[in-house]
Amino acid sequence: MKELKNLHRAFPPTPDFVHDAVRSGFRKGRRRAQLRRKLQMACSIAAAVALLIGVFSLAAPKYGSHRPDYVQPSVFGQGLGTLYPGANTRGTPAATDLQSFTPGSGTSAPADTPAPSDTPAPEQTSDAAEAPVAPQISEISQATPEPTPSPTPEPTESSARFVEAAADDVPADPSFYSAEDSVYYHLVPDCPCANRAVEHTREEIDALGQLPCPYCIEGQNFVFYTKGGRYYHLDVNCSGMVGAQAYSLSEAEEMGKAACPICVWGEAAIYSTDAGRYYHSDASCSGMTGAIPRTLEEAESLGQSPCPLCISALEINVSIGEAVDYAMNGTVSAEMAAGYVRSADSSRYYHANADCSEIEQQGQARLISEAESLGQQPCPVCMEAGALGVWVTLLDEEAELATYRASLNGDLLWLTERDLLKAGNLEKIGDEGALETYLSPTEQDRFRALQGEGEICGFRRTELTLQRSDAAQALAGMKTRMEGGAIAFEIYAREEAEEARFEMHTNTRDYFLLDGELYAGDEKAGRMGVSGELGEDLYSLDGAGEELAVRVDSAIEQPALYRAATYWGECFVQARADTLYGDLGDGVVTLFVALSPAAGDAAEGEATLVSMMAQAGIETDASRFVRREDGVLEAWEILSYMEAEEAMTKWNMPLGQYQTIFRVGENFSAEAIEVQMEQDAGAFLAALYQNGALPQPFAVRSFQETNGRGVLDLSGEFGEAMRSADNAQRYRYMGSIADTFLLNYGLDSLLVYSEGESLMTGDARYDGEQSWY
Amino acid sequence: MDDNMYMEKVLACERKLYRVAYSMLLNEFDAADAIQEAVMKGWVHRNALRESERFDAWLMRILVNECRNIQRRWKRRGEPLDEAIPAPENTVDPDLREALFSLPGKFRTPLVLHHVEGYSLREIARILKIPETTVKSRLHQARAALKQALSPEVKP
Repeated sequence: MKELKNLHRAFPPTPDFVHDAVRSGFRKGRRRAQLRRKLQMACSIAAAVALLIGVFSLAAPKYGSHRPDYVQPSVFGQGLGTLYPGANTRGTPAATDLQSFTPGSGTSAPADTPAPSDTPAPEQTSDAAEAPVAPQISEISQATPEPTPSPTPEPTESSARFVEAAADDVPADPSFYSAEDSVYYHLVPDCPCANRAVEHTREEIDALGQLPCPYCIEGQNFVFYTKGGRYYHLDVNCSGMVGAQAYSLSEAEEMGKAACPICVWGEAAIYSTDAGRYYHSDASCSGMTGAIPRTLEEAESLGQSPCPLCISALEINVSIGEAVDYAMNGTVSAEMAAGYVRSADSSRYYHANADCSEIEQQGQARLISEAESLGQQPCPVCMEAGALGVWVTLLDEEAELATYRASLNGDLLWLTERDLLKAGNLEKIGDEGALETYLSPTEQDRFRALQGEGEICGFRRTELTLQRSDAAQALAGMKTRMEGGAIAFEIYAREEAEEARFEMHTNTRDYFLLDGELYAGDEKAGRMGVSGELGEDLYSLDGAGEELAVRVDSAIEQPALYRAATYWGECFVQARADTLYGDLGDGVVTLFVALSPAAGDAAEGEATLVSMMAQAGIETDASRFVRREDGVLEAWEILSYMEAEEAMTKWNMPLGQYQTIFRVGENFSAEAIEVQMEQDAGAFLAALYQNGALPQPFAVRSFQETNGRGVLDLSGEFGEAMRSADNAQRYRYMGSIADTFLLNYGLDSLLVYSEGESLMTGDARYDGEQSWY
Repeated sequence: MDDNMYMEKVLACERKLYRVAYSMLLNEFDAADAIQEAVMKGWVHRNALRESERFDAWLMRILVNECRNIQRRWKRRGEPLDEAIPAPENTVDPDLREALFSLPGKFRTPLVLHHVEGYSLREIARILKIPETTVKSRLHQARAALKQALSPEVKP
């Protein structure tokens, strides 16, 4: 029957919402997997907590009153292998460890389970023999309901090893470890919370008045951190932190979190004066004098709160509307008014920028509402309406909940006039390092506004977060030094960096040099070969106190395009419209750096540098230049904000318009490419072809845009190409076109026609409006 | 199997998924729902797939289960399960379409899986969770029914 061969002709083409369904299913699958992981984690924690409650309910009546010294060694002695991450890094209690726990006995074998052969029985140890504990245990067992015997009494090989190791770890007369200024004392010197710990006796610990370490002694087998946080904590409310969740220590380390200097290290990391409003991590924050070290509790008991400048713990959640208002108009809502400004009591103005050229006295940080209650007004320079911006970061579920998290001081970038786009961090951090781009309405609005003024202002911030294991793997091919747990990087020239094709990151900040591209807050920095020691921790790498050189070098691919990075690599300057400069934490200066190209003809590069500076009105006398060791000529200036603003106008030389096009690649993710071109539909198609996103430069029959909806009619060749392509190729072609037009024309959707008709490919149809791929 | 490989494989068999889902549900929106669920569940359980070359059949089986779930929901909601021929759409051969979709579902699905998608009887038996002999029997009946539906004598 011939119809059977043509049975496929009975089916309609695949509608394009089926493509969407496939993509959506894929995304849902990833979210589901993530939720499952979290659920497993929660179950593990619940099991651990339940277990600890059980353990302590048995141990407490026995030893709580008359053997206080013995409680901690016994818990540690039994549970160290369980509680210490080396024995169980997943945070899940190990059955064999728990079954072998016998409070007070000093061994790991319960009375009704056979003792592992390698483990001395309780009665064989002198301590156990002398202690009046063992008989009480049996009494308790008889007086209380019969505990369920262990279903697996046979010691496994691993449990036997553990028991042996635990027994080895606990001396008959246990020692403790701590630094004198620590909050906690430890039972093991290499406890992750122990810093500069030295051995102490129990009496010494008592004299120091230190608390037992929640991790290695009290068995809190998890730590807390927020997703965006830099540290992991032992205290869920450390520094007023909210929204922290419990994770195992290994996970915290995998996420690159560092130990909180306050609640983990317990160092005298908090300083404040008696009359101060804030407590500080920097003893000389803002020139403060007379501050004394305190514990967090002491500071809080004085009613002090975290300093907004040196402890950037201020995070507030705002609605989309508020974030947009704030970003677009500088409108400060009631919630956002929690932001801090700086002014002296007698100042006329309060300032957003501590380095504001109008600032008369350094003053102190205070709430806007407080400043206004003093009769102060916003500084006309740095607090000008519309001059504020805020990074809006979408993180995983937050993005889906459409809740923007904005933070002041930490992430806030102060904008000047209309130069920059900061409204909206537009990158969603994927689950496993994959980048997914989400464009917020904020950004598109901002784009339009800026373009309406005849300026191009496209700036996006990209964060690439890799799992620590991935980064660690990538480190294999790198020249690295490992000292004190921190990673230091050699300084590479761009060519070297590209050649090495390595990845790098710091302990404290998510900066990566990935395949020769720097991802340090600017996706455009992909053209820079940059390396260097990044991150504060690296200062003290050398045990002898020698500070390592910290700098960021850059090389310029396009001599006409000057870029620079500040000390931390967070701030970039480019000599064209989408230029970023700003205050970055301690960066009270705006650093303009111009480098002659490291590659190519050095003489030509230097000539270009001088020419550019002259053109920008910057003096080019010899004092401006520094010949670096690597031979690159460097010129730089430190400018105030006002000067920088002024200079920016000079540096905005007509280098041509740049547009961003997207090429959907083999991995189905869209790669942004900067192209110097006019904004024209045909030119976009040509650029997509030139950059390998399309198989040929399809002609544009027409392109119309109405109310955020675009209609792009392409030549019949496009239809032919789509029909002859496979599914994956079609996805890439259509994705590249859709994303490029959606971005550059600020569209909400795009209809793509071929010869004025909906595109049919034989087994698929594209008659729906295309959204972001 | 990593994300890219999974997505690549799903995209490669997207058309197959659509045809089978559509043949079972007779509604392109429900078919899209079923595909979405199948792709999602496939991704979550992708590590359970031992032989990657059997990806198509594996995903197809998930899809068939999802289609059946949707059909069960129809029943619970009291929606009619009469398999009326869907509204004519943009198909190459409307007569063939009418004939195919007039077949009962238990005949139509094996027919599509075998003659359109090219699965063997054994694979169809695994996908539909029915004995191989039943597949064979249904295919035979389906072919006869289709032939009758396409014959000019019985057409009005």
